[in-house]
Amino acid sequence: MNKIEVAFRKLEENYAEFVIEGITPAIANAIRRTAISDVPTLAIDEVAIVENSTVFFDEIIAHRLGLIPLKVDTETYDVLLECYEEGKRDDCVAMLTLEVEAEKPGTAYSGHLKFAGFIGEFARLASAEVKPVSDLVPIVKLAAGQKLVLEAYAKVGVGREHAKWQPVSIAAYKYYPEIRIIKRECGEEGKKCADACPKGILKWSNGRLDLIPEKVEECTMCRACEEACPEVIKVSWDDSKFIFRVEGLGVIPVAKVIETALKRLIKRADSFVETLEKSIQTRS
Amino acid sequence: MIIPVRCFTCGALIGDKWQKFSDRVKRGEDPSKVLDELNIKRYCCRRMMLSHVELIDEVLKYETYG
Repeated sequence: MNKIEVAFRKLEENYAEFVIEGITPAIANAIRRTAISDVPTLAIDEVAIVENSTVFFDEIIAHRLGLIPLKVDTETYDVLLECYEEGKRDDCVAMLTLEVEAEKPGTAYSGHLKFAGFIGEFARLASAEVKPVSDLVPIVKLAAGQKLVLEAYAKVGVGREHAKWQPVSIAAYKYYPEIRIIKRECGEEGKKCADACPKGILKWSNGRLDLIPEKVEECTMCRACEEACPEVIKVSWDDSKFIFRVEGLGVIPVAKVIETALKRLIKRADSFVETLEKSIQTRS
Repeated sequence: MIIPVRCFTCGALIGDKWQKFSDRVKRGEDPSKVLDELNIKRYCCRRMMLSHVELIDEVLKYETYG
């Protein structure tokens, strides 16, 4: 088996860029898909409307509430994850309340949601507050005298079930580009070639065509340079090396998303082996 | 009617940036510059802002509560 190497280019709270070497496209895609659709997060799933005299139907408001990303700290997240994996998602429900009455025309924002505690068996383990990633998401606009009172229940779920549970907006990869300059001293044609690149990866000076090494990873493999001068340059890629980009929604740090995705993937593979062994045993 | 909470395509949160975008564009700033400064990079998220029509204000006029 090949040695796997990972190098981070960027790692921020909500954005990560890294290169993985030594895996197949199938595994790269499995990581991507797991990060999007199989990392559990918290989102509003049930809403009890007490009073709604706004211009929106109850279900529109419930839908908008569901889409608001909710932030949890890492310790609480671990508790929620355990609770989800044990199939007890109804035992770790976060309750939020909202009460807005407009004396003059105004807006009900996500910031008006108040955390009212956890409900269920796992509640004692989770102490931290759950609140929206942003306080400025408009839920509905109200005219003078209109009122919105509701209770919302946030549950743990995965993106596969509904996109509101997705922890990331972007999780994507591309092959690592391999650019080969066949003819370096190529005169005027080299200038045409360098100018064709939309990302400015190529440099042409004194009749000599060169790569700008720190920009190579920006190559999108559009092959505009190849088209401009086919004799001079060849663009291909390494299908065992990938550049990943992951952009989080602020629900949990992206590093945590990647870590959880890998753990969930390994668990799935393990349970597959287990099932396979069982079925072989029962046959013989 | 009202700005969607998330981008239809990628799922990024965009609802909270509408007010700022709308205010600045109405003041005469270049929408593309405002989007850049609000850190809305992808064209899927940018069209959410550019193509949005805030109709809810028109509907509110006809409500007779209070």
